Amino acid sequence: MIAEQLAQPVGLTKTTDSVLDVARRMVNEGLPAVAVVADDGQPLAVLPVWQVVGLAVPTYIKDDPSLARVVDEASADRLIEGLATLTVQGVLDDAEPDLLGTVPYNATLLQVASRMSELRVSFLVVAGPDGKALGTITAQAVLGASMSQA
Amino acid sequence: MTTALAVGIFLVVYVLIATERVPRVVAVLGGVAGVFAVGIVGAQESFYSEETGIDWNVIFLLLGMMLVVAGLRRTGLFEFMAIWSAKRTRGRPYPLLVLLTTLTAVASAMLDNVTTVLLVAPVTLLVCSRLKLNPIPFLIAEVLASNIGGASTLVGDPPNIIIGSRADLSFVDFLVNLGPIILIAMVAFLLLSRWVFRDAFTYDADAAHSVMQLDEREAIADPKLLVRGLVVLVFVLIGFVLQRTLGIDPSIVALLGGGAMMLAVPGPTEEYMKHVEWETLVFFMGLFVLVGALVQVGAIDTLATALTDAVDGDPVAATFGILFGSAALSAIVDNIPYVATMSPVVEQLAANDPSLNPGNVLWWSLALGADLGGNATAIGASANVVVIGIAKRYGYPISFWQFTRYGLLVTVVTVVMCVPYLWLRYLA
Repeated sequence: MIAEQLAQPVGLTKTTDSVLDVARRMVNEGLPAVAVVADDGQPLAVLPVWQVVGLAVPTYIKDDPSLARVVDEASADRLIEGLATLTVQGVLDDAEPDLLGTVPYNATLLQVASRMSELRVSFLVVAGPDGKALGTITAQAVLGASMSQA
Repeated sequence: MTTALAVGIFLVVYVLIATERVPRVVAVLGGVAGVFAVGIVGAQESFYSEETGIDWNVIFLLLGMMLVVAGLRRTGLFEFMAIWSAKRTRGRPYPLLVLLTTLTAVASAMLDNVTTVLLVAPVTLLVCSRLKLNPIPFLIAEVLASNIGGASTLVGDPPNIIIGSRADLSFVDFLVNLGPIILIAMVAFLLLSRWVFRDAFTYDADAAHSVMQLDEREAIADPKLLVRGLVVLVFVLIGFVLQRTLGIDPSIVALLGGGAMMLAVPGPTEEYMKHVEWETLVFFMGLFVLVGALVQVGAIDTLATALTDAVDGDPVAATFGILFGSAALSAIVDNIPYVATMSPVVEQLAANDPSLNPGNVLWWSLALGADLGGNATAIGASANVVVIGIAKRYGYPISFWQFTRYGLLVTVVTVVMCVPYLWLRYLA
């Protein structure tokens, strides 16, 4: 089995999308991450859900996590407001470039698993022969495919 | 030839530091490699000599205090005090600025300025976001207060540590001689802030209510750790105050304090080591080697003799020349390399003509000029650079001129205030 056969056409997003919309899709579709693609379909980055959660945390609380404790419950519940003004492009501008996890369309299951392990991610973008994103593979899909072959 | 080489290497390093073309530690280590390579100094002169070598008292005092601070920041004490202060003001902007800057100034007298602003900036952003206030005036005021407050003690600002070690001046000497003028300067600064930052003081009753919902007690992760950390801090301060009586160097007090803090507020060793600014320590070591090379070739002696001739036995000219010269130069270059270079010059100047230095006035003018001068521009002191970097990350960029507009005014006012103080206390 190769990556192309496992790729699902879900979890792709554009740089102009708002992070709040991306977060909604993650919640509604149960996605562990989304792949950010350029207008021509080239994969640019992977935006995992933990990073989206992190984006909702103000920078000053990341710098001093003890401040998270002093904020009252009602205000803390409004965490999502932190995403309202962010766009995917804004996130990419600050993100580490090595967050992009891709595998070629003809990668084997072992190559896909190896890449996930190497990057410590549970979500990869599958790039077609022309470099465009074909879809995404989750760790669950890799395990499921492996079990069905066993 | 050797003198020209030493001076040339030193100037190149200075230009590289001032222009930030390469990281300052790289510039200094490159210079060190140069003076070693051409044989101006060797291991004996650089590592073991009191005259030309690395001032280990400074290095270990810095290291010890960094460990003390690393322990204290684990307790949540600073966050507690900042939020407690904000709640006492009930969200009124000017009283809030007064309390936060006063807290910063007092903390800076005991901790180094960079650490203090790193601690106060996140809390300031939290409080300002709650009050719907622009945090930039608050951040600028805090870093200015940090540089002012840090000038009052031996451990408050790195230039003071260098001066204290070179001139054998104690914690109490600094507090007694610089404390009063810094207190006056701080009051003047707070009054000036009311006018300078007046546009920032807009009150929103609803927003003020949200500040009252913050629970400062939650900042304290473990009250027992806090008590232990405070006990160590108190002992460190007592050690500094009694250092002469006890016959121990400040660096030993700081190292004992650092070790005690690691035991009293236990945590992963890596966590403590992470908060030691190794790059700063290496930078200091390199600077001492470079300045030692200048001492070795006689360049410092020549400069001091020229200055002695220039002031012609007039302590007023020497004092105010150093005060204003230091303030001006510290506005342009980082005040740490400046003071590292000027300390042996002032030492030699005082030795050439002791009548120039009644009550160590030359040292006090060097400390005041360098510490307060660091406020003048965005690059005058390390804390300024750090705060500007933090503000940018938080989405509130502060331009060079925006900072300098406030900083220069505060510097002029505070440095000019030192003139009557130094004159009346030491020269009249």
